[in-house]
Amino acid sequence: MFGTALACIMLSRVCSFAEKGLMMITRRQLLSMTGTISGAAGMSGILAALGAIPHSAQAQVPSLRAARPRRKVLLLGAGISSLIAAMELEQAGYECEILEATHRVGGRCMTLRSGDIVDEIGNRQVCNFDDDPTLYFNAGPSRIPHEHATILGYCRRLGVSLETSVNLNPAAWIQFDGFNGGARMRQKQYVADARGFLAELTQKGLPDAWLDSELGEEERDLLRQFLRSYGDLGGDDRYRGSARAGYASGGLAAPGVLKDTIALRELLKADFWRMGMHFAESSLQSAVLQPVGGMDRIVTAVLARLTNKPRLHAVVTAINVTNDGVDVVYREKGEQRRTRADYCLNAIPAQLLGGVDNNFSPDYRRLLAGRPRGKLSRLGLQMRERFWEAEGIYGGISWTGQDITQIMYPSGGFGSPKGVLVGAYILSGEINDRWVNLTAAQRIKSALAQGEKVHPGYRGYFESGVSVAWHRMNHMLGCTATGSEPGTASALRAPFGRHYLIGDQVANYGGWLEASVLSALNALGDLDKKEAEAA
Amino acid sequence: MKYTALILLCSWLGHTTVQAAENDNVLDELVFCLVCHGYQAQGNPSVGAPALVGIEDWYLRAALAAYRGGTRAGYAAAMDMQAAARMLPEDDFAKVLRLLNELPPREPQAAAVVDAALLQKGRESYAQFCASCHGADGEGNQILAAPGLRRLNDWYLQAAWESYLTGGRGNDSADGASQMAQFVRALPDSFDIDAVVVFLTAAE
Repeated sequence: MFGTALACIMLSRVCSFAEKGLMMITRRQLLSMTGTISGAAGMSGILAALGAIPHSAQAQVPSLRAARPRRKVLLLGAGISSLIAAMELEQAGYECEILEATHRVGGRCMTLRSGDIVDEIGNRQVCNFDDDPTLYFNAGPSRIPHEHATILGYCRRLGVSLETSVNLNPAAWIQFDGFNGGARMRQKQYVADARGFLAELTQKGLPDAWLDSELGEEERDLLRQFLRSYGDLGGDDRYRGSARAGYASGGLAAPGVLKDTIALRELLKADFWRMGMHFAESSLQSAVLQPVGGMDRIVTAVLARLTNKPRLHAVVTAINVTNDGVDVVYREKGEQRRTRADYCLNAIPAQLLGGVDNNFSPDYRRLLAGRPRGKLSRLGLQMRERFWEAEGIYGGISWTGQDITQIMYPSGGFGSPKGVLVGAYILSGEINDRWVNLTAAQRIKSALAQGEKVHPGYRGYFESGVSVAWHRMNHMLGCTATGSEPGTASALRAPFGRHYLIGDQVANYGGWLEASVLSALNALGDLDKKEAEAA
Repeated sequence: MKYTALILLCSWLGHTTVQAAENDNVLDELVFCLVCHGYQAQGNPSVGAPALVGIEDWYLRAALAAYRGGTRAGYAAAMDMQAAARMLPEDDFAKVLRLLNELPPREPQAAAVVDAALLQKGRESYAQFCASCHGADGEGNQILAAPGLRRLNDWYLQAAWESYLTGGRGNDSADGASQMAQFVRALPDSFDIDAVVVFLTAAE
């Protein structure tokens, strides 16, 4: 979701965070576990998927028993986890009440369009894009990987149209100050040369003794051919450049002239190889999916199906879990109110629960307090022309070593007059610490200056911009919390009586819609079981 | 208890347009102080926001001024506060105080079992090094710009101490806290902050 981001940074780390037992489940085992079962019995599959990282592999939707008369569930926070849960619960006959602290529904599943307010503490903004539904900015999740079968299943069920989101575009740029004199370069040129050199080195460097002991004569020949093909080597196994890098001149009407190769020591200077070069080889492959018109189309579609709509500006101040239900105190329109339900699904961010009166156990509170605040920022820029399309870029991401980290191009609306770029998507905590302290206007100014190095003339196309630093958003103060002590996520998603903490914060991989939805389904499974026992 | 809404009319937005049917796009009531500091203003260590109830008005005013003026910086929570302070119009400070006064007093935070030896050590350390400014019993002294210490969260006392020691706080000479920073760095190694925190947070 926020995706990519996290997946990329976290992939290496995830294994250490994930509870060992769950990580031991292979994908095949997971499939066989979840393939044939549904209903409450399918919950073990959901649990496994919550721990197992982006491989949810199979859409798993619980079939809840019909609710007994007047059973009520209270949902705190109107993000995607609560909304999906409420939809399932209402369908089974439960009465749902959703309390949302902010002025809007959707949580981090937020698409900004003309007139929308960004309620960031210290940087309240209004999105001043043109009033045109095609000019939107997904400030939160923007991509759904093919493996996230549960949320994709809901999109299908809700009639949310999906389209391809180009994630990897070899025609997009890389720009790193210490590399290539700071000048931009097409990603494909970098990748072609890196592969060419690696293939040539491998060809030269394979020890004969190893080849003799490991491979037969025919296999050795196949390996040589493989490397030649992989690196686009010449017949003498030397790399002298490749058409894959794009031609220096000609190519269609005139004979193509190869570009000069970049020296290996130069290639090493671009931090592109640390992340951007490989990020689209995980569940975030070269093409992922996105709802047509903005990620919040999912939110709108769920809302349309809810009988009881979320109450906005309803700020929870106290939670008291009792033997047979949950009492909640909240403040709405300046007045203190109380409500009570048989169950509570709570999506309030862990970092804020420390400020909400509660009767959770000391252990549970300690785990909540230990959940760090995730930091991510994005900035959207409305440009008066799609100048990048004139450069041959249709979707995808340019990577830079500057603070903005990425420029993401829209994957739809090709050829329209205007477009919205993601002008910064900052993953590093260190940069975010710096970035968050800029005012909204300073962020735009800085993003435009940095964008100039990737696209000369960038500033001249700028019309309006809006930025979101998730760790300063009112009633959120963080996102995609990961990195607690091992076992935290599973301990936090264990029910506390009839109270369930939900949201991506209780999954081992934060920041994905899939994780949020699975967390909700996991809670519903337990709720359903408790109801079955009570019936 | 009854909450008083901290109402900041968002006239700065100009006219607000009503968007999607479900989002009202209006920020009519902003109790954003409590989002960080806890809904009873009892403090929330997860976001490094200390308790505000029971803290002297003059100290809160001075702290806000230091955030606004940019002299209190140097650590993450201070930068969060700078951003928040920017949103609080000066003349709304009275509303903040009214809000805080209507909240219940802070719950006792002292551990049920207090190490008597540590408590005694803390009492002695406090008397020797702290009492001359912060008052004999931690009640504070406005004339010396020394706040009361009894109402502060134990984790906050520790964090503030650490911040003075490592230079996160009190580095700007324009900041009243620079005196405290100098003092903290001049203390002997024998000074035991853990013991002093136990003393300050023990039942009065």
